Amino acid sequence: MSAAFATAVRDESPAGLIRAALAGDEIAFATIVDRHRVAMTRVAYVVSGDADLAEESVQAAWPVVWQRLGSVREPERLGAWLASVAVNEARQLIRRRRRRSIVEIAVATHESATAPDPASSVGDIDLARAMAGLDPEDRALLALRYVAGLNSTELGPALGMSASGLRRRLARLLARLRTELDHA
Amino acid sequence: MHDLDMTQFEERLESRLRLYAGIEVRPGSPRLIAREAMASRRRSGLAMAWVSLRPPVRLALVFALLGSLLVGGLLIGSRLLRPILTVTQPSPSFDVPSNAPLGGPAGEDIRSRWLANVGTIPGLGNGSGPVTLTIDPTGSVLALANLDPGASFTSRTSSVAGDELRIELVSDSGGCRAGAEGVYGLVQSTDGSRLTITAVSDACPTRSVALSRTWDRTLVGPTTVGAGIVDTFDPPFAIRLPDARYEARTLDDFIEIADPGSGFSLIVFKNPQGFADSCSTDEVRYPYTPGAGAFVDYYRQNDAFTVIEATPLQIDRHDAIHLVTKIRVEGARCPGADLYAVTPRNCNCHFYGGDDSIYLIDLGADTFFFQLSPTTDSAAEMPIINTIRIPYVPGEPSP
Repeated sequence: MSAAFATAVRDESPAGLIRAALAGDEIAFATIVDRHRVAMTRVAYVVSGDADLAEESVQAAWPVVWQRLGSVREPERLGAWLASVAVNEARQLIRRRRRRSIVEIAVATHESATAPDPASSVGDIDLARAMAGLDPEDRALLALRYVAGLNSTELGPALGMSASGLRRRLARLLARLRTELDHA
Repeated sequence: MHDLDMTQFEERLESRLRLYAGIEVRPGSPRLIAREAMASRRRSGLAMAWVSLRPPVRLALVFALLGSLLVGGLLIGSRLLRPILTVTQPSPSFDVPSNAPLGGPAGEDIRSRWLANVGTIPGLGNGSGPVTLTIDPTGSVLALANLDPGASFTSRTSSVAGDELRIELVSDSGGCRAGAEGVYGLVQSTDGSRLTITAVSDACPTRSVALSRTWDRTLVGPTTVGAGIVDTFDPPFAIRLPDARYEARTLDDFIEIADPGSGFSLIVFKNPQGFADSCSTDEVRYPYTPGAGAFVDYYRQNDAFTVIEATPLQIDRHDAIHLVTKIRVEGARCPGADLYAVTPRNCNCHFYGGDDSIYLIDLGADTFFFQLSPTTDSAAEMPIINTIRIPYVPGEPSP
């Protein structure tokens, strides 16, 4: 976060930023953007498997965030809420693209700053392959649960699913991934 | 599968997914992003066209716009002969005076988004159409929208006593100076769907003109009262839900108004359309035919569901059908799968079907789909369904 934002807004807590942004404070909203843009893009990447599409999704998410900011009930969970908005934008973008062409997850080796754990059975390439075989709804579930850290009560509303449907879907998904990754 | 094994697998999966997600994100200007997003409400449909443009085209347009604004600003600025109402964007600093008293939150029952259909308000440049008043979920800030740019009258509630609300202008707005105080009387209708605001005193006369009127509660945002209107549809409608802590989620021609605490919700679609195969995730649409009867026919031919009941009735003097469906179990082609059942015709969405109770209302060429969840029975649902007023007519008594 740049120093300019820090000095311009008095209350930098998520609740304070939301309150100020709702009152029309552009700097407060920009601070929210600054704090969460990267995390949202990474979550959207898990859904889309495409860095450009992820950035486009997050760009499309900000007007939605602005229009719905007043509905944030737990300001301290702002990051989780923003992640769900980004994921939904990514899903919609993928659906629109599908009408023109199939969106595929890149299976190329993912370059990471951290060396892969050779002891892990889940290698990057294997994970990318497994992700490529999932539909966007399942990837959205993984992104929100394991990357954005949404809890079970937040996941249902974020994905438009009932709690029982969510549990079933997650269990099926984990079983499938475990089979694929452990046997890769 | 052993629980411990699965927990360990989840931990590994989480770790690897976080690494997988760790892409480099290109730098961007948070201020520019924020400015564009905050202008999106005024841009409405144009926003979608904007985001669909390629980034280089967007960048070129931004530079062109900034250049035009600079030249235009210089021309207009040099010709202004007298001060006029503020026409700039809201102050970006939102610098509340440090010696201002702490805000007193407005009552929970008035924290909502309110709407008034007004004519032109002299001096405020709003044209005709609705003006909205938002009292934020903390009850500490209120602001108006759809007036002249800069005339949001963003004010902080400085004290609340009984039915009176004291407010203080946060920044210069609508020709008034920051700090201008006003005292207003508040009267709500019995069901809370309407709020009449009357000025007792106000150092800011234009705010008094803008605020002093009767407002209709909208359900398109956090609210603790269930009676109100939904103005995100064309035409808007009114309904009275049981009071609860509601949040709303909207998509194109879709709204879900839900109380996460109890799990109770209302979902509404305009012009529902089915999918050719509910077992498929391909989202190939079933051909759309207007009318509630056609939607019932879609369900009748759908081998994933059984139509239990399709009862004609009248809702708000419109022809309607109460449709009750169940997931087909015997002979099911995809048992246990999420069944793709419906989407608003104008939305790239999909919603799962189940054992559902649906109310379909025909209104001209359009069909509106209402569903209360969790599904109970029509005896419990009709007292709510019968409060639907569609189209909502401003000034008509609440349902």
